[in-house]
Amino acid sequence: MNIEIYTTPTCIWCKTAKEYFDSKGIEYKEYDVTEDNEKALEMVEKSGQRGVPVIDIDGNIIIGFDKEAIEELITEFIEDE
Amino acid sequence: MYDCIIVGKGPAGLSAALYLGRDGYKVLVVGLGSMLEKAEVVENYLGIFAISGTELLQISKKQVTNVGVEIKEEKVLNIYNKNEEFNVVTNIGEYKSKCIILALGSKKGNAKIKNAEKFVGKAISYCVSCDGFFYKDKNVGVIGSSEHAVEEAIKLKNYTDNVTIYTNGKDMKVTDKYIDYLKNFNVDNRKIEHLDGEDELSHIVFSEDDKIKIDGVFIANDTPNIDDLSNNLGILTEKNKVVIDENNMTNVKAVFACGDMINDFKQVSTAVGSGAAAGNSCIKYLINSNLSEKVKKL
Repeated sequence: MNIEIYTTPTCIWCKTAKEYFDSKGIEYKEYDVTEDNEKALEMVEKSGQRGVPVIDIDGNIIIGFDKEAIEELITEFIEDE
Repeated sequence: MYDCIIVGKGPAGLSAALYLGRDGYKVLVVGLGSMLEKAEVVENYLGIFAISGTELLQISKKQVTNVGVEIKEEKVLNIYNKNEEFNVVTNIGEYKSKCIILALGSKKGNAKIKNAEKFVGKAISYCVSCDGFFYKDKNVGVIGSSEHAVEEAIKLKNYTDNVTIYTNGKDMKVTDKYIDYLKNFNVDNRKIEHLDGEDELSHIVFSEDDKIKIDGVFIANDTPNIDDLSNNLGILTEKNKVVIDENNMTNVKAVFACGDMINDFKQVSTAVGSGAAAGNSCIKYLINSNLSEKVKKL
């Protein structure tokens, strides 16, 4: 499972999302879009909008910290394993 | 520094305050009004045959101030967490505490702007802290007419100098604390007809022949609700209710919730019950975290 999170440093939901994955022991790649312009553009392209966090789980794009959507994708992955 | 700040001064908040106050904690209750003020008569609160909502609140306030609790009639604009302390920003001042009890009641309706929901994330946002970065050096607007709009405009100044507050036909209503800040911004008082754009928001439309081009808009509800406050604290909500654990604690450590924010059955009795539970959990938290001055002295 490949997880990428696009964040800004002042966004509390980005922090909550990271804490969620940390608590489950799930690894992810974080891109701070305020530091990385290329990733900022990539995020807008992937999600079609400019709100953070954007979470990419194996190509499935989740906008905001949508715990239910994240859990659904993670459960599917665990079941497939 | 308060041991606990309770946001909301309806029956849930006051009930929580009573438990903390009786145990000697330093407590502030802050908020504007309560839904209970609108109840002409309450006849289903055990032990009281009939009483008006206003009178029940008056007695309750007297009961909690009698045990040393402070009550302030101020609008809470922001709550943030810094160095294990909470800062509660109101339209009058700023207060610090070790923990927070949220008792804000049901979500209050704020005026809707036509098409606002359609463009969320597409040049419309409710959270400057989250999305402000994307509007660096752009021409942005804040829609709102209270101190909340000024707070959001101040945050936006970190990203761009081109910030206008659009009041949607209202006059700006701010306390003295914000009058000087307000001088830094353009204020446009025109009534908004709708927001317009193709894929993204591009214009604020005032009338058929009167519209302006804009790069982004932040919406600042005049009375911040739990969604607005949770954008700063990261509190999870589900189906319009705050998610809590068995101790009335939210997903954020040291932040508790009670009353209509968590109850399906919205009654004075259920508000008082959950307020008592939240107050009691808060006391346990203060003792177990060694944050209680009373325990430290023992």
